[in-house]
Amino acid sequence: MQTDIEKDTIFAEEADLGVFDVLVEQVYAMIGNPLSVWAVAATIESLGIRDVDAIVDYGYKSVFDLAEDVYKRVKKHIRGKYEETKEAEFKLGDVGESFKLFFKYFGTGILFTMPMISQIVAIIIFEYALWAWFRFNVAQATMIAMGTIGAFIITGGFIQVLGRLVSKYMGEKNYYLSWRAIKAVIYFAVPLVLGIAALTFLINLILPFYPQRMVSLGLTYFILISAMMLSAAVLYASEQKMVILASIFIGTLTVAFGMEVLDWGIYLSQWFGIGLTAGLQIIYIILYYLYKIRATRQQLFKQSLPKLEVSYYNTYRYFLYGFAYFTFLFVDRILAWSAGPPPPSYIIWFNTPYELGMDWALLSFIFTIALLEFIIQLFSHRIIPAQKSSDVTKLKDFNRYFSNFYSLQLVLLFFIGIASILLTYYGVDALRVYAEDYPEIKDFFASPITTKVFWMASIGYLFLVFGLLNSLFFFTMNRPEFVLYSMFAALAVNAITGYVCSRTIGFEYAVIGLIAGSITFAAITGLIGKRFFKHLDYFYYSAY
Amino acid sequence: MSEIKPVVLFETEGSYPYSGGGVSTWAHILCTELQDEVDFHLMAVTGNPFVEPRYKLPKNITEIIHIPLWGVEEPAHYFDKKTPFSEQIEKKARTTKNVVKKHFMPIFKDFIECLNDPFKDVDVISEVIYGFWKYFQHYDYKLTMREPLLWVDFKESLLTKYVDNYDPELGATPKVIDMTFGMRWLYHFMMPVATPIPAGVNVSHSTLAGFPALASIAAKYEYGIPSMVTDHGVYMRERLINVGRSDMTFFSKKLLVDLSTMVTRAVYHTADQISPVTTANQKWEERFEAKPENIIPIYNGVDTDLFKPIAKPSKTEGIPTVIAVAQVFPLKDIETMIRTCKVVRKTIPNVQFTVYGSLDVDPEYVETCRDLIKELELEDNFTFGGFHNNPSMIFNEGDISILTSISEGFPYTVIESMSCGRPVVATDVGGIKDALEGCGILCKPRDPEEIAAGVVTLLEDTALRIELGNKSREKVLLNFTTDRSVKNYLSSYKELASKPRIPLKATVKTRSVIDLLEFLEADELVHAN
Repeated sequence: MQTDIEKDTIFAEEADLGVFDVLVEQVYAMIGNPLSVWAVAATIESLGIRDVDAIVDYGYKSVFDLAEDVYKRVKKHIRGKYEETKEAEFKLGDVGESFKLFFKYFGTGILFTMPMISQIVAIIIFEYALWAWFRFNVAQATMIAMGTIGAFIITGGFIQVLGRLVSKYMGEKNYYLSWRAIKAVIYFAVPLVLGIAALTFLINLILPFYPQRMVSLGLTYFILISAMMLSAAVLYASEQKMVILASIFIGTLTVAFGMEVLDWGIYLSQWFGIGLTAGLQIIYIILYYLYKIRATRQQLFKQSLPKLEVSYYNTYRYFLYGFAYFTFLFVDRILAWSAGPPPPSYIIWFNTPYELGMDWALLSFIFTIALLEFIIQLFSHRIIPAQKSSDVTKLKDFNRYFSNFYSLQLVLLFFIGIASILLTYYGVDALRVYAEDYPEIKDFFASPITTKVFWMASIGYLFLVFGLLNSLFFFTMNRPEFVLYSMFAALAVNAITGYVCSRTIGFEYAVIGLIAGSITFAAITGLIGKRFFKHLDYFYYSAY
Repeated sequence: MSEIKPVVLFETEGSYPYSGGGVSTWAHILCTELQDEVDFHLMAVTGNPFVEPRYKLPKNITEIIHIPLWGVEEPAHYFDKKTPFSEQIEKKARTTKNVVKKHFMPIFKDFIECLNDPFKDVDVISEVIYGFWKYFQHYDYKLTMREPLLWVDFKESLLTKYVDNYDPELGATPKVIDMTFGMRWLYHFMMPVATPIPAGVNVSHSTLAGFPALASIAAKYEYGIPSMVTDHGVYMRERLINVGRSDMTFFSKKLLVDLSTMVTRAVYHTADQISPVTTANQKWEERFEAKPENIIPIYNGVDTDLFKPIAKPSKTEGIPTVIAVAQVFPLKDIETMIRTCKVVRKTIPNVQFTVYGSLDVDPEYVETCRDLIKELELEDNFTFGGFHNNPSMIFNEGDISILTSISEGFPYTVIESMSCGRPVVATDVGGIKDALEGCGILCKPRDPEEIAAGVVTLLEDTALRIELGNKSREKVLLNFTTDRSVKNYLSSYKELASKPRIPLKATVKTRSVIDLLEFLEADELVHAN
């Protein structure tokens, strides 16, 4: 047995060939190893050689007789060629290439966490960002946090669906359907966001959980941030990520301008900033798609999305996952902020040390998230060459190679995860020396809860990122169901554990829910992942 | 007794109504001309889902069942539009691992055996195809084909062949990617076998002996619906040429060809009538299971009122003009035409060759041709006219027409030119002889000297040119009119529609298929009670 050998000739180049040999060589050059005598006959006929030519030019009774001898001659050559040679070795992987990809995609990953990092930088420089401000009181912070969390959770499902549909159609360079899919999702998302806002407002009128003014404040942020999240999701899936960064940058500067120059006050400045960010993104999306559709003339072809019920069926797993994932990310906060003692002023009441601990931990999460970009790109770079270079007889080697690849990535993720936690801890902790000069820094470290929450949340995020890595592999192979079930289990564990711990030990132990949920997510997806890589050949085949 | 109106399930692939070309033209003429006599349900297999009809569909096309082989997540949503999606979800729910294992796997194993030996007993192949269809009327296509058990079986059959019983003549060991695409091809190409047969159909007519005709096989077994196949080229021959020449691995080529072989054999075997457009390819059809007594050629026809002799327009008047109508790609051997032009120019320096037809099919080949024109300094004598918006005028622009193809069925371009009274110089391939014998010049393919001699003779000898032109027109009027062609199809439809319906399912002998039929029958009884 043998793998592909470069094209050869049957006869030596300098050989003096008769008409039959020339034909043999010609047929071999055209079809290589012939499939059958009939394939040779068809090829000979396609050369314009008819039965009459077979008789006159070649001395055979017909093209089929001629084909039989040509077939035998070529097969003789093939037999000799494949008996002599040995099996090709299965080898893959180039460390140099991996490093190149690492720097490229880890760098890109970090770059795309910039919108998040830019907000932290903005807070440090200006004391405010698009929806944060050092001087918000607890009531304000509660409402804005609720608005933000609500925006993430309500749009989370739509974000995943947009990601799925837009990536699919953009992968086919079908801007027209991508645009129609965006509109279809947005037509659902926007009324839902506005409806939830109206419903919340009304419910609070009947059952006043909070003063109506506070609710209005939170809902304003909820609507604006939802709009921004949805438009950013479209840009992200459309591979227009720099626009997200640019628009957030402009929006943040606008907040500063409103505060420092126009003296609009924080609300108006932030609303205008978020609105401008979303507006710029939306305008860019519209112009981008209209231009692309016109340039490729795709509007001229009759194309339509699948029927609504089919679209639901194709995307509902993504929607549920998105919803569950963002709920998972915030459920511990809700539990912590609604626990006592002392009993919170309202049903959910912002707790600054807890939030600071979570935000601090989020920094470590950013680095590991960036690493995922690299790992999934490396996987995509390897899988097709591996499929092309491994013989079916080496199928086990193929699967083993990727199982090892997977293990290696887990180790890498673990080390980078630990390093980023330590780096984040010591990096931020080093600021303590400025505590006396900057009251904000002093306030930051004022409560031991912040550090405690940081450590626990960092551990939680580390496990979460393992689960996310597995999820990315599953999504790549079109298996959202693996992720969905794992995430729902993780969410349940997170909520139950968080509730029990926050009510029995102390409110800040709600974060143990995050740890338990993340471990659950990592463990379930890890178990599936092991099976997944063991049978990667099957999962790759069935990724349609 | 009143005559039964034929209701035809008309199966196409990559042609009518979504693409242009000879087969589509033929199909459109057939459907349009039979508006009052026949109703058609079109089953159109295409590569991708985003296509739109290129023709104004006549009112007797009552339905289009569109089967895009690629680019859809839920294929059933396209080919089974009548079943509400909620029922398709129910089908999915029914498609458990156990069901696949018990009721589909045995048939799939038989299928793989047939694939490994596509010249196996054709009854078994046909029955297995019917078994697939029957199963997919109750269970989901995508979920079944994605079941890991199938992959394992496919993999094992491959390894047995390449590891346990390896024969060096099989060439290179396939790669994992070949196996991946191999199984994916089964998923995509076999899709027509999951399509329900529309109610009321009493004849099925496939425009080629390939995958769309899987529905004809199913219809024959389940309902006894008689079927016919039209061979424009010979599907298997074209498949062997195209797949053979591709740069796929031996394994992939073999898989595709073996799959086509088994399908074609089953299609011919179960067809009541095989109607090639020429007599030239009968040996090919018989080799792939066509019974000689079922082969009844029906020639293509041309609209003789539209394609009629008209004087040359002023732009070509006085210029010896040779017209070709052909898409520019290798099988048309335009290179030989260019070399022919070079030879003709030696005798007739102002000769003008114009090729009308799409330049988009194989841009690389077009470039090769352009380079050759430049190399032979024929820029003033040989031109590509591209698309012409008045096809019936094309041939009248010239004195004669030319076709240098190395492979053909029964080309419209020849009879259209003949209908315009313009004699044709053509290579003697496929069914061209049926048309040209006695009224044109037949030449050896790839022989510019011989073809050029024919061209020069006709261009220089006006009397002969006029004589052959008149004879050509007469022959078309007598044998190759649209009217005559369409009437032949209509009488075939009527005859088939009035045949007694004898479903072949009663004759099934393949164990796996019998087991499925028995299970489904028992299951239906349980549900009925």
